[in-house]
Amino acid sequence: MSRLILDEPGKEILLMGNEAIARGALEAGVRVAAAYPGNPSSEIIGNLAQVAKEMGIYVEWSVNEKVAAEVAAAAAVSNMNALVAMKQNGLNVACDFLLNLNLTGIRGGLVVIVADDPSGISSSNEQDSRSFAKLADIPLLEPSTFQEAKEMVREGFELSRRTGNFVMIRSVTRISHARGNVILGPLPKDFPVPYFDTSKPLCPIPTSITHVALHRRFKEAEEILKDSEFNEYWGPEKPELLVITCGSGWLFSKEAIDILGLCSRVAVLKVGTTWPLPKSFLIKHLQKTRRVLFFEEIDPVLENNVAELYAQHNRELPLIEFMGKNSGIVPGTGELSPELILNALGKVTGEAVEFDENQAGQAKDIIEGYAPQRSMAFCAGCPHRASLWAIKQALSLDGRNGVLFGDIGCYALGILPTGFSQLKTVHAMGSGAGMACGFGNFHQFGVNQPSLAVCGDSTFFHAVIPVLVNAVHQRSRFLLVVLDNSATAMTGFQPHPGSPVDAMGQNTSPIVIEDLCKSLGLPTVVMDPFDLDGTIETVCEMIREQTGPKALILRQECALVSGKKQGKKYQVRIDPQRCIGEECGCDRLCTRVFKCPGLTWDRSEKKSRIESVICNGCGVCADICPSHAIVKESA
Amino acid sequence: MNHRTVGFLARSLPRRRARRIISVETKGAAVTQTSALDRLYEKVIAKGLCAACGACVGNCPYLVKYKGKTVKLDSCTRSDGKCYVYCPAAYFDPEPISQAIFNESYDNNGIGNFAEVKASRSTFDEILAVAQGGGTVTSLMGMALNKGLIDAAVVTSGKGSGGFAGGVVATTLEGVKGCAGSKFVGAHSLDALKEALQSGFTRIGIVGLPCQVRSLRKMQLYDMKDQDLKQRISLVIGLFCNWSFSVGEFQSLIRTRMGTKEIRKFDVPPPPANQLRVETEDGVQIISLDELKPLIQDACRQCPDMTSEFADVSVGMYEGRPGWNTLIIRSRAGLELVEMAIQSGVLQTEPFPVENLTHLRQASRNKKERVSRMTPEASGGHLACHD
Amino acid sequence: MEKDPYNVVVAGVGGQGNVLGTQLLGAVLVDQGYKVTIGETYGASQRGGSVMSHMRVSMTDQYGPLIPPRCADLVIALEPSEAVRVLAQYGNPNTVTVVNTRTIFPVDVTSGNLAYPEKDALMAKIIALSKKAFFLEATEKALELGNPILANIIMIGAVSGAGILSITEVELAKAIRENISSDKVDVNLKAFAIGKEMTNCD
Repeated sequence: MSRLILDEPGKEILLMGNEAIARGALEAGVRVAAAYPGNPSSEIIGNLAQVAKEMGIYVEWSVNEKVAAEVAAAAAVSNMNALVAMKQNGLNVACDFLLNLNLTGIRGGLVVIVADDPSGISSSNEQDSRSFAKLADIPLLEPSTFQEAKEMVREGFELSRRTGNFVMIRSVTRISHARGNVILGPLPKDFPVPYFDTSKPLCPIPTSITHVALHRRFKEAEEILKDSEFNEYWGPEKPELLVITCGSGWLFSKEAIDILGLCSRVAVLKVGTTWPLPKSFLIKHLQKTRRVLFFEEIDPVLENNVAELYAQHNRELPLIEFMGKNSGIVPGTGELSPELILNALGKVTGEAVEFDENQAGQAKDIIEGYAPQRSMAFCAGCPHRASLWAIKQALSLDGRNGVLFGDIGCYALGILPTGFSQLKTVHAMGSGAGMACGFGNFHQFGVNQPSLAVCGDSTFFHAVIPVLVNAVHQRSRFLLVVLDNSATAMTGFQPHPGSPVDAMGQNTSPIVIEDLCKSLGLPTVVMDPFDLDGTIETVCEMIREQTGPKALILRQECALVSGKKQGKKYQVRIDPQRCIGEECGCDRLCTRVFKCPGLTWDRSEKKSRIESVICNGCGVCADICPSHAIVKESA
Repeated sequence: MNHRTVGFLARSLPRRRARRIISVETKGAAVTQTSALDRLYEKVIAKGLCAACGACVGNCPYLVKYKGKTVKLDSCTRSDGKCYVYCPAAYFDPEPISQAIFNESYDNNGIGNFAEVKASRSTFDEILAVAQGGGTVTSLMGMALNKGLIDAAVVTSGKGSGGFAGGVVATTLEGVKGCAGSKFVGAHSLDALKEALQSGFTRIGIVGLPCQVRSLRKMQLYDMKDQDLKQRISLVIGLFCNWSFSVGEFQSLIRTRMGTKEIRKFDVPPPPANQLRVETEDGVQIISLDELKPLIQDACRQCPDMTSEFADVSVGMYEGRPGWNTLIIRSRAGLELVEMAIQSGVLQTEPFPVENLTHLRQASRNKKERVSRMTPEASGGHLACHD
Repeated sequence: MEKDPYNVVVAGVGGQGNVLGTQLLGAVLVDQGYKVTIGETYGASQRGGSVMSHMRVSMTDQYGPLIPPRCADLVIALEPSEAVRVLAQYGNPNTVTVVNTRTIFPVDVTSGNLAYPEKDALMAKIIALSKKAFFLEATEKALELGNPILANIIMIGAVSGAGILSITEVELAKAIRENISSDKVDVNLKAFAIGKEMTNCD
């Protein structure tokens, strides 16, 4: 049985932040949960899906975040509790719907979890989603601990039901993807009966009524949250410096103050209800200090909101020096770290920080000497390497300087040398296809560069289908290359509409990408990218003369999946007699250019070598060796 | 007969020489660290100066031929790559090569160093039937194979991979005959030399265009991989060439015009040499040369060598005398080859009239002057001629 | 624990089971009554990048998921150059290091662009940066058990064998059952025992 559904109130267990969020939803009696995978939010729905059957809930991996939000909203307007989870980029996709839903309100409970990725550790962008709450006039909670992550979801549902609108919870990488102690609460036994009241349609028009109603609900939320225990104060009553923080900054700040011996001088005020602000709580503590330092991740959202509050209440408050992102004491972007907080506190209080720049420099020297950097690269045997290799060769052979538009997914590594620097753009889900669709229609301006796009199989369903429809209508001359590795590999192999099973493990009919393309009238070819020559020829042929969009599906299972399922397809070895290494006529093609980590350049022997523990046995390198020194034998 | 009479420089010299030349070429030692491939790309390929001789593509995973073009696929870090050293368009110094083959200084008279110029033709009807002119090349190569002077011949076939002309390795007279006839295109046929070398042939005869002959001589001189090329490339028969078409564009134009019809022969009959005559399975079609001129490789417009000045023998059309060739005998090896051919009744020769020689020399000088004036538009009727 | 909070870094390369190993260790410690926080770096974890888990263990407080610079008490390195990478930033004169000696070359090394440090120099550097260092051929032993990923449990065994953290078979078995699955208990306990044996020399 999953630890997530232990019915032992009071038990303390180790949970990942995302598990804590899922547990909070279960404790709140969630009935429906939906999401499109995206780190750092993926495990929320992943965990709920695993317990769906036992808990009698409905969980789906939706085709994209907007649909996920709509699915959850359908439950939340039918007297159920529903949760939708997304990463920051996903919020943008769901935004159109959510900014209408806020006006109609709901008739159940809906918690929207947005997991931001400060520093863009596994994202294309770094976006502070908290501004959305202000835009949408909805309450926003920000957990600082794992326990709080669970409690905020639970209370978020209550707040949502009480105010008749959805509630947003913003998590971050250091909460969602970290683990900590969580004390379990009780799991509910009774649930509200689902019912859609057809007598009361939901419509945001006219806004003259619905917008006013939205503001009224927001005021109610403010009233409910004003004494929330999610807002905490730690430290001396009249501190010389008050740190105002939220999210991951809470634990980091307390520890840094302790390390620097500032416990009697500096206090920390943690805001859990980031929007609307806990006004009276803040004013009370602002009255007792002259200096305030803000620690928060990405944008100065809290900092600006407090400054706004300060301006509105300046007659009740003393002169205060505000420091943070706006003053430059804290970096204006990125995530928080103990080091950052120690340094900023040291600077502001004049306390020496033990780990100074000098030591950092020494550490850097040691790392340079003894720990060679680890550039990101496709896994050994990854089909994307073969696909991008084939596209690279084809574009070179074609000779017209074709442009490969890309988007996000494992294959975004194609913008780096380890992916042969083939991708020329990386933006949002499916945006490579959209841009290629546009570029493929500029022949009237004399553009003769072939236009190509890559997308993953999951991305294809998420955002590319409308592009294909557009391309057919506009007769855009572009080639869509679907890198179909039969997995949402980057986020943890969640099923998608092309999969034969759904999130809850039930069989479903997979949508066949090539059938869909053909049904739109696209000339469509399916190839195995491990057949390099065939793929190169196909790409060359497909882009040679185009009058409209075409689709090429390069299908080969993710190496991480196939490796686990069937082991190595080939035993690969190198014949040292044939390997000419650095000599003219090779110059380390396999290790220097192809760069599969399963191949190693042996500096002393001046030969290539197979790393048998790393090699996945795809055998593709045997086909690129100009000396036929790489030998593959069926394993 | 000894075909190893080509007297080359001492063995230790070539590599050092190659380095020195690269260094001179790139104006200073500091630059020699740059990739040979990058230099080749900048100096030759990107400038459109590649004549598709094929010297580089057979040896390298980063350079390939594709639809008549030489394509760079990736970067390479070698500063002494064969690609650059062997490329006839990257740099060419006639003096050491002339010394090596002819034992004398380069003769800048127009048609290069030679011992004798003859009119010649094959004595075999079946060769004459397929030949462009007098069948001299096919006869000489065939005889060389039959008599064991060479154990393989690298020639250009009109039916290479993907319907593009390309090099093939022939070991019989039949194989050589199958490749008779002018192709009028840059065909990368030297890449077949790699195949011949890898197959272990030790006496290889090659038929090539002037650019290819120059490349072969550079290979022998520098022999970057110690492949014993000065011995193994035993016989070089050069063709006259004024220009070649870019094969990709030519092929697609021909296919547009001729559909799927089988092409039997191309010819540009002089005078006035202003039409391409295409012989197909069901008759002859004419294409105006004016229409074809844009398809001429830029490299050919900048090539000063019309008569394959560094071959053992050079063979071309005999203007005004269909069914015959002009044969320039240059090296000692060439002289011995032709003598043997005459003695064994393979080749019929006649003296080459002085006025024709003057005309040939003038035409060749004209090409050199055009190149030196860099007026790529000018072009004459002396075409790539293959037998 | 000799110190509160006790800070552990588990370092390695994507695919070595770093995160799961740390999670098991954390689950055992929570069961023992500690407050445990684990932070992970994971962005490049499936693509050959360095992976580091920070574990904070305290009797009283929940700590943040990242260890402040130079504050690691124990470094468990599944790969030797990763040990140096971590020690350089998080090590201090009192740091104890347990290292799996099996190297995993970065793509920058396999491609020939960078050199991997000489083994002896690397070991010497680890010793110089640690109060005490244990070197184990954990991957080799794991391969004998049939799966290189078991090196992570062998390392946990070694930590227990050396008396650095007190973990029993029963506690680990429970954590494996609750966090992975029951059928993985036997092989992991074998790995644990092997690791324990490797450092249990006194």
